[in-house]
Amino acid sequence: MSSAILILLVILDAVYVHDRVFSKTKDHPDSLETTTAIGLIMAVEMVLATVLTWLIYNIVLLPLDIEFLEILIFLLVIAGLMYLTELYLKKRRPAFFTILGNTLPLLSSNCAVLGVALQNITQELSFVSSLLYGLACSAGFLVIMVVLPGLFDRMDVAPISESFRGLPIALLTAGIMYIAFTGLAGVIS
Amino acid sequence: MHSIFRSKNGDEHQDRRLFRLIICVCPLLLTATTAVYGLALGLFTLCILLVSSVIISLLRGFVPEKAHAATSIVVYATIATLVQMLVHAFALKLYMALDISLPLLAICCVILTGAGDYANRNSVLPAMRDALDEGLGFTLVLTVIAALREITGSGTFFGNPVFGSDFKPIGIMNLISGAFVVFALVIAAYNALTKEQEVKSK
Repeated sequence: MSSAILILLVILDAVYVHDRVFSKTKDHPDSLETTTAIGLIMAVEMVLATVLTWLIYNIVLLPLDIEFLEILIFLLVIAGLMYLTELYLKKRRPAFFTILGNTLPLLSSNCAVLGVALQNITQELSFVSSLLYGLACSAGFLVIMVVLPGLFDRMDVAPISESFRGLPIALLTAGIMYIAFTGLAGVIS
Repeated sequence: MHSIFRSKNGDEHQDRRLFRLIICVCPLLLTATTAVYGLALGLFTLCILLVSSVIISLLRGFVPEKAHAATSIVVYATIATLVQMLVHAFALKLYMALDISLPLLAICCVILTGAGDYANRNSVLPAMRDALDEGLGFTLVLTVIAALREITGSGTFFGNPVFGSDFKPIGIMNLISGAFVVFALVIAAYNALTKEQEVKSK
């Protein structure tokens, strides 16, 4: 169940990020490169968030008996991380920053990152397992980010009925992708 | 490559609302397998939105503009935590069934309102109206999809059997893939209907 949730959240986020970025940059020549880069940013973010939230929960919240603050603290940690990423990109990779633009603040409120963090806590995973969990999720995110442009390119030329164009077909794709990825969920257990 | 999230009239503001709604509904669909759960999730969201919008709107004078988004996130997270604790205390069965969706409500509210964008710029009453608007639409979408899933996935509607005893439930509808299929079909049906109307009015 828990891995299912994460797969879903990761797919959704990938679709979301992809759409935000590519609806703005029309006919971007090296779309694969850009998506990979964005996927990498998000992956690093996810791993960092996993590590930080685990540490905060187990070192600060648990000993002080204030576990109920987890949503609040986690949200702030994730938003803060995203803000730092934004600053870094602005300074070191201005080209990226112009593509991502003001989508970054929205990304900070990111379901998958919070989902990973919360799952680690509710399942009472050890530090290493939760780190692995975060790594696996970000790897999944990266894979989907790379697969998506190809899928959407095919959809652009496919004879899809008028009512299904756009969002409905994207949702159906997400559903099928979900089934495909749950098939992988049992590989390492 | 054009945007998936584009409404027909191409209105930027409308697009953003639609996009936010969909991105928030999808994760919640995971646990919204029956109409009751869908309705409950929708109403919780409505509560969080209403209460937070009042607080954010009242706070807007005291908080510097740069810190608006951060304070909004704190307010939403606090109210969502409160709702979660109340559900835990008074409706344990619902709490177990909704599982991860309850903490995710916080993030959904942040996304739905764009980190309290509207409430930060308006006084209490308009902010409340906006929250009510947003929350009711959200509840409607969640309930309709959850109800359709319940009917096809387990043959009941709010717990009452709909079909005869020889009805075989469609198992996949209880998985998230089923939710996506239902969601896609609902939107496609909506598209088809509005298109028909457009043709008629011409």
